[in-house]
Amino acid sequence: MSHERFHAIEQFLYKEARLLDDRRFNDWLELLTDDISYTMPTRYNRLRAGPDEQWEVERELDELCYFEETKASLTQRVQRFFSGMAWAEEPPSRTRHLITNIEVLDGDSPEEAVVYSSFLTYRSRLEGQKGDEDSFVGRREDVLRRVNGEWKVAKRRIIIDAVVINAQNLSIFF
Amino acid sequence: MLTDTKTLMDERAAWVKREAFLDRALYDREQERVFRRAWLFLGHESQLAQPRDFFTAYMGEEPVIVTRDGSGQIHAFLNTCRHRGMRVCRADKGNTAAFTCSYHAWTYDTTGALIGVPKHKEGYYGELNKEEWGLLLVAQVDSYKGLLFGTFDPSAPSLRAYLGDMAFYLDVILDRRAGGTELISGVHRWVMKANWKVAADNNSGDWYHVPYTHGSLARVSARRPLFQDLPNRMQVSPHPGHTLVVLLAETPEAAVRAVSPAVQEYYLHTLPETIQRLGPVRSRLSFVAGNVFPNFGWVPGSHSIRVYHPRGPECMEVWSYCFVDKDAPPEVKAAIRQDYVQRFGPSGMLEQDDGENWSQVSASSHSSLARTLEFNYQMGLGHEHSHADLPGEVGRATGELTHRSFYRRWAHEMAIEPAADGMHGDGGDA
Repeated sequence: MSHERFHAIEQFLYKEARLLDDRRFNDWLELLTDDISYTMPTRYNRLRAGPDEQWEVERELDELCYFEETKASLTQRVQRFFSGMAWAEEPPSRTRHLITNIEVLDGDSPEEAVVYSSFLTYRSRLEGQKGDEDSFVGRREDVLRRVNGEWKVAKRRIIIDAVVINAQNLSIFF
Repeated sequence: MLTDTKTLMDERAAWVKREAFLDRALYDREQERVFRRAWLFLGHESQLAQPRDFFTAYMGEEPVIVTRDGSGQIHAFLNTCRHRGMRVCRADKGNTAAFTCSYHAWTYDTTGALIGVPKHKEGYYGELNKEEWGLLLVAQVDSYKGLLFGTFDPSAPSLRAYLGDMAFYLDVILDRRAGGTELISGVHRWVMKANWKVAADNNSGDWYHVPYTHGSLARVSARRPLFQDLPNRMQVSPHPGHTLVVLLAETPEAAVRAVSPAVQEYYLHTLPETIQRLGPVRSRLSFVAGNVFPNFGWVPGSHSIRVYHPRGPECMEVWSYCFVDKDAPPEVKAAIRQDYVQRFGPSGMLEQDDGENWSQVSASSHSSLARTLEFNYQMGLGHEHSHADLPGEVGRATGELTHRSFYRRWAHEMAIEPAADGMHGDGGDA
């Protein structure tokens, strides 16, 4: 893994975070491949010993997820924000996507990379008090693909650390 | 704090004081009078496919373990050790022969019986009677067509009697195919800063909020007709406190209103079986939303059932599940799961906005003056009627018949004597 490649991918993730925080959602969609798979599995507490020992997030995705998205569904979610009636984000929340622990591995081809990153995404809503303030923590397992020389997200699994989402909704992207 | 419950609501439930959604003493009374007596949803039999499978759940605020024992019998008991109160099972689901408390290792089998006490001879001189110290059993556990319910009240009527004519409508979902239903694995769990009744009263049949609260989805999808006012879309209360919104279509084909083409095709394809099982009326019903008193919500159009667990006067924890016909092909189950996630759960494009509204309902009601006001439930009051084909009290979908049924039942269970006056609260006395 070259330093240049790592640096380019790191900068890509920071730029993506900035677009989300600046609510430039249509620009953000441009950073996703047309065949993107964007998922956030549900989590649960399990017994360490026993037949259920495989870590739950490594399973195949036949379970209920918090997100199970395609480019089309993500696009519809973005369009909804601009309808003037998406009350969960009207007025919009203020978010800050803090991205860290970036690890870049070889992908299936030279044009792909497997990228792990951790996130702490903060949301302040309305007056930012009494339940209007949320923090979401987890890891993203991405496959990035170079399309016409530009990195794009081709696959993202968002492994949120909470079993019970301590927020009134998940109306933001990760 | 509210001391005089006579000013809490009127006898027709045309208004309910905001204190009902805020007051700590009323909340505590609900725990005792509603949640310790009602039949509460525990989960689905499909979550206990194998002997010794278990899952944990809540009955109101009470943590419970639900098990299938080695012989296939289903049990439910309180998830708290009888010795020192430790939570004996801290996993959400799994398969086990026994639950051993992590504190002093008291061990219980899958029926809740105490089967192991370390130092029983040396410490207790053999004098501890294990039979008396099993986990506290949920007094009655029963299934209705795959749905598991429990009640802490040994004298509660049977589950079937509790559901009353609501069962007529639940069958539209639970009994349309011979194989019945199952849950997609996984539970959506999240927290809303509002009283549980704010969600239950909406889920009871609040068609009124759909075109505006959820207007964004109509604007960005081709689903606009779903939001129209139709004369054959009605609110029904088939039993005190149990309610729904239902659409009675001209034909069984017209009642099939799935979101994705694959699911629509599946329902049309299996319609002959459904007509044969449900008969000429119920096969024409499209079950939009509803609530089984107190807190078991249904949104069948998006394949969601959910429980609004109380977590203090101004907080609830939502557990939402996705159900499918057990015999549906895997690709149809996948399409249903994906449709559900687009609309419901914390990320759902419909449910996101409910979370915002309900939280702000609470946040803007708890101040000293605002809390003395009431909520208005008078829409359609006096226009309730019966229907030749549909059991229960019936009204227009755009109405509040279902809400009033919910609060009248709530007042009855709470032993609250309502005010006689109909249309207005008397304001400002709390």
